[in-house]
Amino acid sequence: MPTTFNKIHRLKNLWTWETFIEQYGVGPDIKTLKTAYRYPHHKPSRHTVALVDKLHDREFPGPFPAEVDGLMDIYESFIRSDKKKDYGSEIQKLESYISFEIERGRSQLPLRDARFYWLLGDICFDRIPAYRNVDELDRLKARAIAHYQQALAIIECETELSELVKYKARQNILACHLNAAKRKGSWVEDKETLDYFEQSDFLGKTKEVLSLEPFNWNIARNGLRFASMLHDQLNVRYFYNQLINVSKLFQNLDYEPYETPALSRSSDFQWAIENVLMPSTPGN
Amino acid sequence: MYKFLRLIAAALLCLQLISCASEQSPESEQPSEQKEGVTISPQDVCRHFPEHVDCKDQPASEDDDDMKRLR
Repeated sequence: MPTTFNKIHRLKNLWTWETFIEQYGVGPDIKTLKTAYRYPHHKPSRHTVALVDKLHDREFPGPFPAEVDGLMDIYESFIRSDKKKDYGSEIQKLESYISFEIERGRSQLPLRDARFYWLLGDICFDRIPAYRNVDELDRLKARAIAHYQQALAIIECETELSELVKYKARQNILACHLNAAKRKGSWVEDKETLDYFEQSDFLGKTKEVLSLEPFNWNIARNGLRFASMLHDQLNVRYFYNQLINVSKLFQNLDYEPYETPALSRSSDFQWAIENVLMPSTPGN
Repeated sequence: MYKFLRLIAAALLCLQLISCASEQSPESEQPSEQKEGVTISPQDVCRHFPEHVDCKDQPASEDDDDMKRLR
């Protein structure tokens, strides 16, 4: 999972392995931690995830109010719940409550409002994959993007926030465009997707974030995705090398990192594989 | 009688050890949550928002490699 993998890498930048395990009483041994640190396909145990989350929250507290992040956790638990349960009405109540809170407290706590908008964006974002009707899809995509844009507008005024937070909001907007375009069959030829891709300087910002967090393979993979879809040979090489730097295992195009398909199994990477990474003509 | 009690004590100790071992988190368990890079399947969406989608008549197409949202 990118989260625990990334969090262990951030924490490891602070400590040696010995200091790392001194931070907790009961928990994974050094060998287990090193495995979670080295292998992007590794599936950490629930106990390891909880422990790493706790340490990460302590050492890298997020910029948003913990109470709103808690609501995000509740939403995530609904959406990832037991398949037999239906939390649709609870999620709609959560949505109504957030809208009410935004109206009530507008401008008093900007980061609180930003995170509320972000969560509303997430709720709309998660509905996109189920839509086939183009009108409905466009309406939903517009709503998700409007919420993320409102979050981003607030965040961009907060000068002390890290570039990574702004990058995540922009990436979510781009993902709304691309995922909706895929549902309509237009993929990256979709004008709105391309416009936002260029407007947000996605590849440039992705490189900036990777210079801060070179271990973040999920971000490198998205850079490679767009470089491939846009037939950008130089950037295909750049982002592929970033992946290899995270783990040599990515040299195998059939390699499957945790909860993510192999490059060879995703059509988004087809051009890169056929023309740059495994060209059929020798010497390329 | 003494041997029998020792046997019972040993069995109880074994049971306790097995119980403790099962409480340790095996690496195969599912993580409790995921805060970055979340992917929700169309099936999940249909389950949670049936009134918004045409899941019954025409199941939505699924792409295994949608871009994930970040938090």
